Amino acid sequence: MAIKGVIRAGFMQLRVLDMEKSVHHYEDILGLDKVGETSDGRVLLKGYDEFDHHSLILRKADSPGMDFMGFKCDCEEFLDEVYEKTLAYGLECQWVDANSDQPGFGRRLAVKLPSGHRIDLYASVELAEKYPGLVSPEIWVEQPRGMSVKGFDHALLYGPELDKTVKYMTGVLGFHIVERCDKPDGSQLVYWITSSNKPHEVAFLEYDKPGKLHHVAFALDNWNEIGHAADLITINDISMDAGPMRHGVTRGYTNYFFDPSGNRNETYAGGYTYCPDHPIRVWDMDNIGRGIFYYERKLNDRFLAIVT
Amino acid sequence: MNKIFVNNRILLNKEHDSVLDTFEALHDKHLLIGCRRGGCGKCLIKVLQGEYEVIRDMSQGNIDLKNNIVLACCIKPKTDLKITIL
Repeated sequence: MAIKGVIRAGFMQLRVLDMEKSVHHYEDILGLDKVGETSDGRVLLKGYDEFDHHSLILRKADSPGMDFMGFKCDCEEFLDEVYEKTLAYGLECQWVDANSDQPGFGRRLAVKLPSGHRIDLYASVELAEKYPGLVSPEIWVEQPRGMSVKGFDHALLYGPELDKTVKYMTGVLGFHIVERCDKPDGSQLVYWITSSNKPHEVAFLEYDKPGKLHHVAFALDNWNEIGHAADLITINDISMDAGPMRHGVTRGYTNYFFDPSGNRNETYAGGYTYCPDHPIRVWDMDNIGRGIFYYERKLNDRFLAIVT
Repeated sequence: MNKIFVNNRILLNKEHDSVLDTFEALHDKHLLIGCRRGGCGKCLIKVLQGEYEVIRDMSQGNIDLKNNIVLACCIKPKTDLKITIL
């Protein structure tokens, strides 16, 4: 499969209430590496298995949630094409200068989605100072810490105008719908979509308030690592949401928990390999409990209702 | 042990527990257990009487400290508290 256009989810800028506690959470417990700080006090982090300059940015703010999510694209020409197509689709977009608010990043095209989220598309990023070995490499260069997350994986975003949002993501950006959940009236509640072989790079859920974050997910390798992450959630008295468990949707293994500002995190492992010739898997409301919480077969009270 | 008075009920608050911890320990569903970290805003309450300590930062969205409108996950009673759930 030749992955063209948007190639993957690349970064998220997250708002946090307490920077010190947040850096401890993401650096020491999840195991991301701190790359540096910006002059305006934001903290840049990345996973040990990622090549790009950084993939998570923490910004101190009065309320938690996400500022924007980045998607890496295969070439600069694609960005120029998307600029024209985005305007033609009727969405606001603007260029962000290279090496401005995101050190190491080339120019970005910031698009305001109908769901209220801002996504940034970019094709050029400097190689990080620390990255996976390239020549007869070991499995890692420095022994990973904490939960040993490999890097940023995906996010679930809540907002209005689900259909218009997903039509833009698929029709203009080339994402594929992998799975969806239908409501009894035939409209859709959720779409899980991808631009790669991963079963989701991002998901959108219909919600009345714009620009909300349900969770930001970090990649682990397997079920054993999900168990180890759950151990660390308890040992560090992290606010638990659900897990360890697996999803029916994507078939991945997972834990859900909250960062010190109440942003929901996921550690995610496994899931099937998606190919663009695969048919769409469809869930209904009677079975979506099993789709999300495969073993318990019903959602907890807070899963759908709690967002930042 | 401080008492929390809410809607004609009395909950006993263990030392070190937030107001929300007290509801959660008793499996009391009157307050929705959300992120427990001051972010999601679901456990909004008004403290009508008594003193409390703020134990972590709260999302500024709905709170109003002057009027004692706070998140239950972010406060710990210093005395008996009378509260109402918002």
